[in-house]
Amino acid sequence: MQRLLSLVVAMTITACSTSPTPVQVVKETSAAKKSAASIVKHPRELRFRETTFNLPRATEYFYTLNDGYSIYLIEDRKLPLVEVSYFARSDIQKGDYFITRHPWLQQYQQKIHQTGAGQLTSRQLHERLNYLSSNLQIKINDEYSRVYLDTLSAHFKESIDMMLNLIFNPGFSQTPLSMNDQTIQTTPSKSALNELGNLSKFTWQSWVYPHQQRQRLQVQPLTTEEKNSATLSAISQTLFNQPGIFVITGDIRTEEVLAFLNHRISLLKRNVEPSYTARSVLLGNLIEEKHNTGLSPQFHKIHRKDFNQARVTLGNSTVAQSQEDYLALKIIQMLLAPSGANELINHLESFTDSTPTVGVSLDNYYDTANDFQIFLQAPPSLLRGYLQACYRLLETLRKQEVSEKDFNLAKHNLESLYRQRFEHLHHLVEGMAQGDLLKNNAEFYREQLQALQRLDEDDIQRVASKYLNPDALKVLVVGDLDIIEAPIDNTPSIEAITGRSAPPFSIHNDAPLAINADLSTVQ
Amino acid sequence: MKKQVIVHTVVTSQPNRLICGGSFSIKRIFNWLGVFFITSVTGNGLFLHQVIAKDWPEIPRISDQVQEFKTENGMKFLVLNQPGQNNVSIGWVAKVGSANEYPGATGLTHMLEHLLYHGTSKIGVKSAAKDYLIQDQLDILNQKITFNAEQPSVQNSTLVSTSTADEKAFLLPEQLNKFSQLLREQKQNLIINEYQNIYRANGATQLNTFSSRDMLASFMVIPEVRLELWFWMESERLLEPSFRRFYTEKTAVLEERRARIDSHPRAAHGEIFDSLFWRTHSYAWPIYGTAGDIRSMTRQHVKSHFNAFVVPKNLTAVVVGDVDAVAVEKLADKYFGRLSATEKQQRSAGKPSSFTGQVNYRANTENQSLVELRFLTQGLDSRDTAVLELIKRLLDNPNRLSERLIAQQEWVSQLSVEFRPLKHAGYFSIAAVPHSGIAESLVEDVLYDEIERMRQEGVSEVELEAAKNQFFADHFRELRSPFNLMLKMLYFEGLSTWTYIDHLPQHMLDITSERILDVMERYLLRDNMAVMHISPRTQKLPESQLTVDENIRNFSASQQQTVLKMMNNISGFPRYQRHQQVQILEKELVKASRKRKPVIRYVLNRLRVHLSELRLEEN
Repeated sequence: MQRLLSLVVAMTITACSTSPTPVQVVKETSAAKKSAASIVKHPRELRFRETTFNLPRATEYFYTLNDGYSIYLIEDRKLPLVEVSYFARSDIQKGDYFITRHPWLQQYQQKIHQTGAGQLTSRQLHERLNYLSSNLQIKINDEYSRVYLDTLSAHFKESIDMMLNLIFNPGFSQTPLSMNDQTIQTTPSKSALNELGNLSKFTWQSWVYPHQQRQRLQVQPLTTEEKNSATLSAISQTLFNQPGIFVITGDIRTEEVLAFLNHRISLLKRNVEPSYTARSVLLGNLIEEKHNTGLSPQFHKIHRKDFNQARVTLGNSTVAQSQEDYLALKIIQMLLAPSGANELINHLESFTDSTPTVGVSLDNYYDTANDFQIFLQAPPSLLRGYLQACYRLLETLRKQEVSEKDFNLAKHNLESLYRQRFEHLHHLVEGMAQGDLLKNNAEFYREQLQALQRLDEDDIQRVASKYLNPDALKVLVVGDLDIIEAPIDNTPSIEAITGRSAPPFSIHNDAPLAINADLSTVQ
Repeated sequence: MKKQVIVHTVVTSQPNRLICGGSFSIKRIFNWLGVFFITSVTGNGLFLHQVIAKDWPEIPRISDQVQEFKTENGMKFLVLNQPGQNNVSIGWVAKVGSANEYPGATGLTHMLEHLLYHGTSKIGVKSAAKDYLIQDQLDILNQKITFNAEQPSVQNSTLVSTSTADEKAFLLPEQLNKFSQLLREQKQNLIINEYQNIYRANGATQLNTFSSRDMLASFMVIPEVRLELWFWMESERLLEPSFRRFYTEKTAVLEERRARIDSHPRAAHGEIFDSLFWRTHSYAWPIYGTAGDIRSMTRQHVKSHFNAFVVPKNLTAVVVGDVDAVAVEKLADKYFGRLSATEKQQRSAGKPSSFTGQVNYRANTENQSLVELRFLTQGLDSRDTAVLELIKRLLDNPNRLSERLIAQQEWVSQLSVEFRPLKHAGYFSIAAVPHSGIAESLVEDVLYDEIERMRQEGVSEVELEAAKNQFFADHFRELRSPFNLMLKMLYFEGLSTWTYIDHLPQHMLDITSERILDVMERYLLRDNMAVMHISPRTQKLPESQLTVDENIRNFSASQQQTVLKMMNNISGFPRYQRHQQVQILEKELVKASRKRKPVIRYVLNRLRVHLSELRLEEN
């Protein structure tokens, strides 16, 4: 019976082979008939004009205010909107405080507006911003603080006034920041319990800041007043210690804005009380351990049986954006994950019929080491195989020169991202201001584009060898370890990696990886 | 002082004239500085009712700038010229979504979203003839495997390693070998990712496709000089999609579903709640499709769906950038004129029937609590759309729901208000995440009370202006980005017509507080509502009691009693909820009286010690 069936199938297949699925029949319109002949067979035959993309010069938009403040200004009247950014150098990574290595504190700082500004209490400030529909945000990273305002031009005057008060005259003492308590107390264990099915936050936190979990627990016994004190000091460090740079674009008049800011800053600066700039002993004691950016291998595992999926993150600390190897790393990111990590998915797919969720990321800190990370999410039974496949791909990058075609493709893609990034006027000028602030070089991105042209295939191999060596990668696995670590005999198409590039779980790890463990001891 | 504020009001109400209009003068600058100074001085006394800006800035009409035309076969093109842009934001939308599917064949549009990336006979393949042959062989084999899988003697296979036992039952080892061999042969004949790579090599970014209940859309940003490439590529894939790698994509879609819905307790319940809310209407089907439908889907199903719906009269393209409409029209005729104008009978969803009473859904998960109130509304075309959009913003105002539930009572940790007008109907939803120990029914009552309060008390002029401010600011922000503008036009066109990008702001201007109450009376009613409660399942972990130490002796007898009572209460919570008690106690500590503070601080410290011990136990 089975033979008979096979015969029927074979005959059917033979019949099909002589008449493959016909192309969809098209009823051509007259316009189509006229033009069909002129359509090329393949897009590679299309001919285009040269693509030109030049960044404008920063000096065209640059002005200096009194008291050493700088400003980049562009009038753009197309829409009744104004965007304002204020950048101040924080240099947290170089100082004594290491604030952003402790996200609980960073979250505090970013909610500074919950403390009110000027004479306005937190509630009044919120109500007023809400009424005006003005967005006012604070972002503080390792390198700089950014206060950002997006408002209707009709409300620009009042909104920027609140923004300036927030920068120069925040109302720290008015409200005890109680709204933030919950954020701060959200430990990874709680977030894991509450966010079942959403591993990303949990693993990201565990991975990027290996010391974070321990620090969080240490922080808990602090009272709200103590936290406020620490926060005060941290904010004063980042916002008030030196003149920053303003960026204003939109429906404005340059002369009026310059005159106003000069006047307003001179008034407000006097309102900064000395206590805001005092260093807090508490904070110094609290955050005594510096962030570990060493390249030693670390393999962490978190056993969780309550997820259908498992997740692995592997990566390394690399270089700052201003350093030479950064662009090559960016090209590697493009090679691995040009758009939705296609190349990596394709590579991993070749081992099974399944498609994992994959991502490749590279931070963009200007002069702080950036993390390069690959994450995979897949059913636990496949995770180990995927991880090994991922190692193989990285090994290929290190040992074989990338083809000219792939290299150029990644380069073009990177150029396009730059073009895309600076399409929005405000982002373009913000880019200049950041360059100015961090490196005293407002032409940084223009130089980056030139440096990109000088890059070649050798650079890729060299940089991959330096930073993506499996021995140096840190790995965090979250999922059902009973399944993840089970023998992989049933997937013979995956080759085990031997020698120095051993699969991560061949390394014996006695130290339990738990929420309150000191991850830095796990080697 | 009040007089000075009035001066400010006058200036604020004519902002454009002050900032933008006329010529620059020293006098004007001083006027302006004066205004700022006054604002700063009055700071504390500046309340909402004192400044109301009623003169809206001129709202740019996009319709006046768009050039619209159709190709001979009926495909619509919308061209918005924005000089000075290096890039063009461009995309197409097909008016087909999961609402055009039917039970037993759900997930077809979403599958199209995946398959359209796999090229045509000219893109993505070395030999198209060979590929078509393999595809046909795979289809036949799949049919045979499916037939055999229904026989009771079938054993599980190990080859499809992601399969559940249920999936494996469809497979037979010997047929699977042949099937896998064909897939490998097919793969060797492919030029993987050629479709995306051609675009990338030409500098295209933001390349993406999405499918929803009502539409399938694909879009990107491409350098203006390479615009013709988009016309070649998109017309080619709509003319002759290969639907290759169907079986690989089927597995990928099942994985996607598993990761985003089945593995996520809240999403899984959300899917059930959706089906209860929409009942017999086709919005009830999941956009991903049900797992069973995805498994039983064939390539022929997808092709038929494509041929019925992705046809020129159902397609609209939007082009935003530094482009000449005449040149775009020539390209449109040349490339998209090739598509067949043939019309096929299409399945269309009507309007859902109205509710006959409140619908309730209750579930227990490992997740946090969740309460959602969802009201049935009309589709985008309704005149009530702008009003409901405004009501959403009014309820989202910090003085309403969040004031009562977060600031005053501290009963919930998150709140969201959503209004989603679709093509045939829409919904208005309010969702909250209650703190541990707060009953979902209590939160439901308070949420509904707040709606009721707004209905009874009405909406003040200030509130109304604030909500309108927010709407217009968001509207302008969307217009600022050519990419967002293109997406918005695609979205509105997918639901009804792109001109809603102008209609909504115009309708918004005329809304009064009376109109708001009228709309609330018609939609935000218990009889028009479905309610979901998700409650955390009690964990069956071995629990231990919180214990006191010798420091309790420092307290008075009554304080000791309070301590013991609090600790007993906390011990009654499952382990995972005890973490939440830390937050609650911390908040209490801030507000507590001087006498009560030491008690709370003591319980808090004991709780922390207890939690550390529990963690050690777990490890």
